[in-house]
Amino acid sequence: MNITTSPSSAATTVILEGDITHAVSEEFQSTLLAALKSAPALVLDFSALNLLTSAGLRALLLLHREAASAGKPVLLASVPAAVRDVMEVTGFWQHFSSYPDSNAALAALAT
Amino acid sequence: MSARIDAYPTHEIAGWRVRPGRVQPYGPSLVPGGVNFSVFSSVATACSLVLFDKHGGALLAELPLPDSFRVGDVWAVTVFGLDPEAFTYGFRIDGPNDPASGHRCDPEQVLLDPRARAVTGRDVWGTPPDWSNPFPYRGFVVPEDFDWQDDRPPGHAPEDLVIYEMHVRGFTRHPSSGVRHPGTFAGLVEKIPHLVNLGINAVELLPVFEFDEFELSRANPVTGGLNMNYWGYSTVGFFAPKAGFAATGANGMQCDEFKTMVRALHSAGIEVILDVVFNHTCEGDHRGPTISLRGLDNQTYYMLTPEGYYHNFSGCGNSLNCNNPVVREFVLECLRFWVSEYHIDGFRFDAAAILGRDAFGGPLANPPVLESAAADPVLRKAKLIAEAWDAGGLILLGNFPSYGRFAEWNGKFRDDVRDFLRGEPGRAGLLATRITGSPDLYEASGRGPRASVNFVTCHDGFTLRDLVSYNGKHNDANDEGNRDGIDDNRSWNCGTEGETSDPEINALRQRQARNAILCLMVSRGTPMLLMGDEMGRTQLGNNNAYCHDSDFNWLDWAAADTGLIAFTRSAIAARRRHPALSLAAHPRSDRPGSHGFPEVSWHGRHPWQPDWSSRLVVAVFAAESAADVVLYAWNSGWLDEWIALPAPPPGHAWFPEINTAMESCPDAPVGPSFQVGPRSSVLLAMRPTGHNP
Repeated sequence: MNITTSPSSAATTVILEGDITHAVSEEFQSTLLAALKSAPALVLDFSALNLLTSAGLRALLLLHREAASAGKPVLLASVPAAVRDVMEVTGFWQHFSSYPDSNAALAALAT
Repeated sequence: MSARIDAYPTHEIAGWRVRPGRVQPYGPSLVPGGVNFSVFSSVATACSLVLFDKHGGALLAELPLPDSFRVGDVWAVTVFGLDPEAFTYGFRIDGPNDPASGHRCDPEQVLLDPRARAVTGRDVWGTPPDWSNPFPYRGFVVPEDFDWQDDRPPGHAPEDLVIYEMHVRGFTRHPSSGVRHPGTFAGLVEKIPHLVNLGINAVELLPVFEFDEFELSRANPVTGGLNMNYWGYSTVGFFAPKAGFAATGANGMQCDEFKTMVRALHSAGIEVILDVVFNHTCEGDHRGPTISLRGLDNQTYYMLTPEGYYHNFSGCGNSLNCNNPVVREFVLECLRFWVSEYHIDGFRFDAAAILGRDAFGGPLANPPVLESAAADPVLRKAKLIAEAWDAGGLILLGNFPSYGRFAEWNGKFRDDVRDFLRGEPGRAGLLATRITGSPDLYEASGRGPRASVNFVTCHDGFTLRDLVSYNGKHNDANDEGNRDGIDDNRSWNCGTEGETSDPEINALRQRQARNAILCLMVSRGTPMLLMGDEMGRTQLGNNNAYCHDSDFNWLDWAAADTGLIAFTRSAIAARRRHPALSLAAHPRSDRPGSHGFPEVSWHGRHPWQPDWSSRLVVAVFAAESAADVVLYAWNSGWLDEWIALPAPPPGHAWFPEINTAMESCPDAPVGPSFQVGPRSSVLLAMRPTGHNP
């Protein structure tokens, strides 16, 4: 897993690369919670994401809950079809708003 | 900072930091910093935890547990630093191997944890196995948390249930299903609208505990394909959902997918009943493989002959020793697990008579496992349904030790309705008994119609369409010389054997199928439909299609008989509309119902004059509470019957609602006499004249 953050005024865009698994879920959560503190919203760019395991999905949902309790949206962008598919059939997809790419997500935040 | 003061290692074994584990809960559990394992064996002289790399399957480590890690007969270890997503596991047990004394420990084998929450090895249905792998089934751990949101069990009363018996894979595997993930839990979710449209409010899933579709698989020269363990009545892992039924099985996410399916069914008002197989396991007889229980504690888990062979009351090689105190607790823990972790609403116990046998196979008057299940606090609201017989000849229909809780698959309903349907003489009285909820079986004991799960067809035997299209079984495709499958089909082909283009025969078959469905829906008890019977699904006369992963078993949505679907929907709707059809008590002719009619009254060609030697049954059901009165008449003879209707009270009339001889009924009052066509049945409702809802 590799995490790249690029802050802007509307949101911090986070590019996630590789696999989000149990092995990296703590790092995922701490990095993103830190990013969330200084940002009004997070856009998670999944374009380079390969795999979200059970633990990865849980880390993602916990982040979403944490953000929601702070009134901050977490949007998904560029979700690969296979990742979306797994999220749908395991019941995680319904919690998230997703956009074709991070620009579309940022635009949605602006409206 | 660790959340527990004991979450630190005390030992190092094979390079892994460990400590004596927590004995409870049994099985695997995620604990702070690691994973806990706990397994029972009363005979083990040594126990090792064997860890494999989940990706690739290579041996990671083998951890022999010191004797100090054993409490009583339970071995337990906590392993720290174990990535729960990166390993699979099993146990190696050393101990006596003396089959004549009942012991079959085999330290050459790595055994599957009987409480593994997920099992890898058959992750994607039908993927050819690596036959050289000596330990094909390995456990792994899964997160137990799931966001159930506000999921609630629908909690329907038994008499309000309409059960749909179905195979997860068969329901959507056919390309015509059009779902994104054919043959899976996710695929089932996509087809929930079909169930809702019919009015189904419970699904009964053929086995979904992990099983091996390749068990005893072999090339079938007749079909050119493979004979498989398609139905799945042979459990590998009692605490694990079948990975091959999950679109995400390859990712090891079958548990989440299964729970998502249950949540979706519940939100549609549909209960989930599991067909569970506690009568035997996949380990077969003395020639079978050692996979789990046999190597852990053979004598505890199985019923053995004095010579150390397996009793075979299941017809599948062995019999689980369910009334042994340890095994009993295992069974109960399993049931509680599925109710609490997976929100399951009920269970249908396959060959449940075996659960009434003692360690030597003798029938028990008070089988502890059944008594405990009936009284268990977690299972208190769960539907418990017994297939009240076994392959060893123990038939407990009507007498299953129910403790006020167990219902039964009513095999007599099936047989008697089939006999009446095919026009056997002298069956009118038996039909009357069946449609009133089988008081011969369930009244004296006080169990009532709630004990009766009524069905005409189930996975075992003909489909409904085949029941009216074949006189005998045609199981040649099973490659067993047509010797397998029951011969007592009580079917009638309506004039020619099998598929035909004869319009008269096909019209008669249509009527016969509708007669059976209507009878199910007007009968006291819980009706159960077999998947596809509402669509006219055929198995081409095969009455034992357990082995075919093919069109024999896959529901062809493109071939669906839409008229029959509409009829089924209307019959279920009539059951819901008329409380007089589905009350929880046997109707009595000496108790007042409504509008001057008793709860049930019997008629014939003339009111109040039933002819029990005829092929005509006319019943009026009346519900006091709802002022509901309906007349049900079934003529299984080959000639028209004109029946003089019992006189409705002033200001009321009979309105036909369903007539299997017609596509639809004119919405107008009928009487004083009414024609019931040959081999036809009708449902009339009494309503105030001028009022047509």
